[in-house]
Amino acid sequence: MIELQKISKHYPVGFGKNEILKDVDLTIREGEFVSIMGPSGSGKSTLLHILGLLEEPSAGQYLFQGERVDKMNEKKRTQLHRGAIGFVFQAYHLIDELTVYENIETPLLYKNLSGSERKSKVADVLDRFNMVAKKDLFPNQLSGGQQQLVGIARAIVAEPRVILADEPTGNLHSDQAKVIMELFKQLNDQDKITIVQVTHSDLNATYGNRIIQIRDGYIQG
Amino acid sequence: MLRNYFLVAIRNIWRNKVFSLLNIMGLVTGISAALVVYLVVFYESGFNKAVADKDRIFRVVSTISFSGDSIKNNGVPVPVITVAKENVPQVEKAVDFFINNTTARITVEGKDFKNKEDVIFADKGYMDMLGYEWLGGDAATALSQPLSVVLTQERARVYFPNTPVAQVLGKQVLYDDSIRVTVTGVVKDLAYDTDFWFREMISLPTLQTNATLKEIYLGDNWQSISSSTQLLVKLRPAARPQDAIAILDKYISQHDTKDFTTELSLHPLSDLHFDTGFEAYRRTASRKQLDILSMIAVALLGLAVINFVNLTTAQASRRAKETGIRKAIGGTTGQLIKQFLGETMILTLLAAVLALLLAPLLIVSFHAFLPDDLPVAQLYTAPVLSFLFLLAAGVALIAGIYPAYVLSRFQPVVVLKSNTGHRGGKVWVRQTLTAVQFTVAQFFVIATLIVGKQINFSLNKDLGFRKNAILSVNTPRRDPDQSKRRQLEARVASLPEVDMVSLSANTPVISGTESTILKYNNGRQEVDKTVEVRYGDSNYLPLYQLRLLAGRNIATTDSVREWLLNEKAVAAFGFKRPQDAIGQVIEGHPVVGVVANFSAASVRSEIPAMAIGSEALKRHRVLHVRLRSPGEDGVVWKNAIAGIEKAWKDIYPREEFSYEFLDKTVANMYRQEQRMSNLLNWCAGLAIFISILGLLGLVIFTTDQRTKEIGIRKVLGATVWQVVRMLTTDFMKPVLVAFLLAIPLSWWVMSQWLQSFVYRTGLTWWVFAAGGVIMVLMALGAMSLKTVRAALSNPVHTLKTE
Repeated sequence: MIELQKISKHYPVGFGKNEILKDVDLTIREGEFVSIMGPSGSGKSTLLHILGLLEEPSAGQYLFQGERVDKMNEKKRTQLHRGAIGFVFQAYHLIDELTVYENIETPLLYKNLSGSERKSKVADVLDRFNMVAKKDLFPNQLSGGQQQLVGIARAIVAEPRVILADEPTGNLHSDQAKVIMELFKQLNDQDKITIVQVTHSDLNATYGNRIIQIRDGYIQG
Repeated sequence: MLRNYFLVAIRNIWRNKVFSLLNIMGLVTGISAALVVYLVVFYESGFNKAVADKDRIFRVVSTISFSGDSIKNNGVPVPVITVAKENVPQVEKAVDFFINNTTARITVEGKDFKNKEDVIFADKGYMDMLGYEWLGGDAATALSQPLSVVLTQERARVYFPNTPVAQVLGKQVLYDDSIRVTVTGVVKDLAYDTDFWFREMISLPTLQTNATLKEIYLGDNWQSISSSTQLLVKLRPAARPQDAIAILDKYISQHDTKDFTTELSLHPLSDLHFDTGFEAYRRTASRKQLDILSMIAVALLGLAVINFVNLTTAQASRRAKETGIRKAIGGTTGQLIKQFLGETMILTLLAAVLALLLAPLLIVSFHAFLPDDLPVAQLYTAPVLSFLFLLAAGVALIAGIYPAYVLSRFQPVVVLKSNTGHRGGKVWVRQTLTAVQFTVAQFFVIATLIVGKQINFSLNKDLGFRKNAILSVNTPRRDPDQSKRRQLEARVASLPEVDMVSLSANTPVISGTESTILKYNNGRQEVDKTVEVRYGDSNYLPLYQLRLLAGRNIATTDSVREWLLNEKAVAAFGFKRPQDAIGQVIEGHPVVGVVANFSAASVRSEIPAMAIGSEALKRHRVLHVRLRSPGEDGVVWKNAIAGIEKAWKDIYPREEFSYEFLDKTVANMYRQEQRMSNLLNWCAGLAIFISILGLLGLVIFTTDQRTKEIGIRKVLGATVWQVVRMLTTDFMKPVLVAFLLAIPLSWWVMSQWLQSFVYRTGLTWWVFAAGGVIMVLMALGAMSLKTVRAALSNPVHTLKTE
């Protein structure tokens, strides 16, 4: 479902340029659970952002579900953000002014779902994550692990085809990390959601079924 | 979706209490100023709108030109009335009425009332044109007979309290102890805003029954125009006003002479309330003043908008994360702009509601510049409220669009990648806006100072005569008995507290003019000069301490007339030196002395050529009294006034006693400037207030951002003063730029304003400097609220959190 062909990314720095990604070829099939690993500054986050249409490659082609992303207009990309792609961030990135319930509901608002549909979907997710009791709390009233649960709940509530997670457990201690990773595993197994995560942790990588090593902008092996 | 936006908006406003408060305070000030101004404009432009066929109704007014001068008069020569009624085919209906400005006393059932100048002589045509509703009496005949009067309900209640309308009919009202009229009708007071505020309509035929009235009101002279002679015409539907005027002019031009011409014009009813040189009846509104008020409101609103833009974009980084997240989960830029605009809208609506509560307070503060009869309750009527709503929406749009653009522009990658702060919008935009804000505030400050300086100059200018401790008492104007006045003069002169008394005509300085044309034959030709005149007795000159340059003072005599000229008049009649004028005969009477120039009016006009005449004493109706020094607590003056009043009561038992101090009269001439000054004070205050709020907001924000930096600097050894200076310098730049911009702006505007004064204060450099210093001190003071505290904070606390 995801196909990268000769993707490069560089930023201008002074008179030269800083190359982040070089000629990356990568195919991710539906239902995979991929872990992208590599040292700091190797370009893993940039790769993930390109996969998530948050950044544009400097060169190369990107096909999402067989469609060329560079040919898509703004509207189509927004459609993908609303329906096909879910994000999970290291720093959770919940909206501080909204409650747990409202945070989870927001993607559905952008999808223009009716009130009753939104209600039932959010209720399902809350139920599944055992967070019904916390639905009226604000993010700063939750622990990091709980916040990340909300982040994941928000990512899956719109039933995306793929979840892109950028070091989802980076800010959590190991017990919490385990819960989150098992949740990803479950989403991958039961819901058949494709998952791409960036991680430093070998342990986390074992939850996936493929590991991509990246170093100095090149995919290894 | 809306609910979601709304919640975020409310929670954001609540979370950033300080900034929301700063924003709302600025907006409330701006919006309530705009609201009050709108109320005034709405009220003033609504006058006479409800009169039926108002577009076809005109008032006929006159412009008289004689010997180079022209005077506008809102009346017409009496013969024009007949012409308008009979000879002008364009006129469908002509209505004449006469304002009763001679009646001094109205007596009803033994009680005396004063004429409030709302008594007119009118007929059925007048009542029909304005659409009165009759509560009693017969509309067709009530004003057809002489010696009948129609009262409005309000007036009827004053004259006949607790009497039903049916019983008011048939009652009698006595004017000036001589004209007894019967109430033949009672009408409802006009329910709409109108200049036709008259409350007592005496039947027109009454004028024919009394020789005195006939002489005063119905003079048959084409050249004599009284503003009491009012003529309204309703034109036929398709008639053109200029055609009607052409016919009227044909008649009146037959009576023009070489140096006296009268021109008539039609003054549309819609213009009646506004100053076009022709007075409305009670109060004339100034379009220029409304324009000034509107500009001020726009300026204050602009300042509030700038605050909003600055404060919102400065803290944009706090919202950047939200923008990033929303975009990553499917929000579009358009949706985000709508969301942020919505937030602005909520804030502005909140401010609008508060403005509605604040507006009455503002009306009280601005009252000197607003019409006295402004109905405050109209604030809460549909047109004003809908204006308020539109205004709030408009302000929200203008204030919100740039911040919304800035906030929604953040790219998710940039925001979500790192946790460092993000700059919202360009810093130079905020600095420019702040500079604009302070330019406006600075302008108001300098303008206030200059207007104050001019007022001070006007009041303290050497007038050329003494104005302290002098009061004047007007004796009853219509009383022909001069011996009573002499009696009063003698009684007052004998009071121990009184220094000197003069029974004369006007005071040296009057508001308005009293002029005449004097002829002088210099042997070769006759010289005609328009000269400002005063009439006095022999005490007039010493009492006012006018300076005699040549010759002698005039003598008090009943029959002989003598002239004193001022220096200007000496030059105007062509004499080289004051001595040359002595003994010359002007208008049949000799010049006996020359006095130094002295002010005859306000500093707006030049000192004119003047003559003081010792005319026959019948013109001498004003008692001028110079008092001795006021003594402890002004007790001497109090006694003096009590003494004068007692003498008055003995001589004029039924007349009201009143007096005015001359320095007060002089001060009153500058009431307009005082009002201007008052308004400017408020504007300057509000402008400073709003601008300082904005500055404070920016300072609070940046200082909070630099908390860590301040801590590190202090650890490295920076003093409190150094930290304060560091935090302050950046913000003083726009204030100083504003000062530099405001100098030429205020110099230009204020020198325009000063042009209206012949004698004016200079635009000295220190006024501008003082304005700048005031502004800088205000800005520094406000900023120190935050910066000093930040600089004093213990670095241990600020650095520990990291």
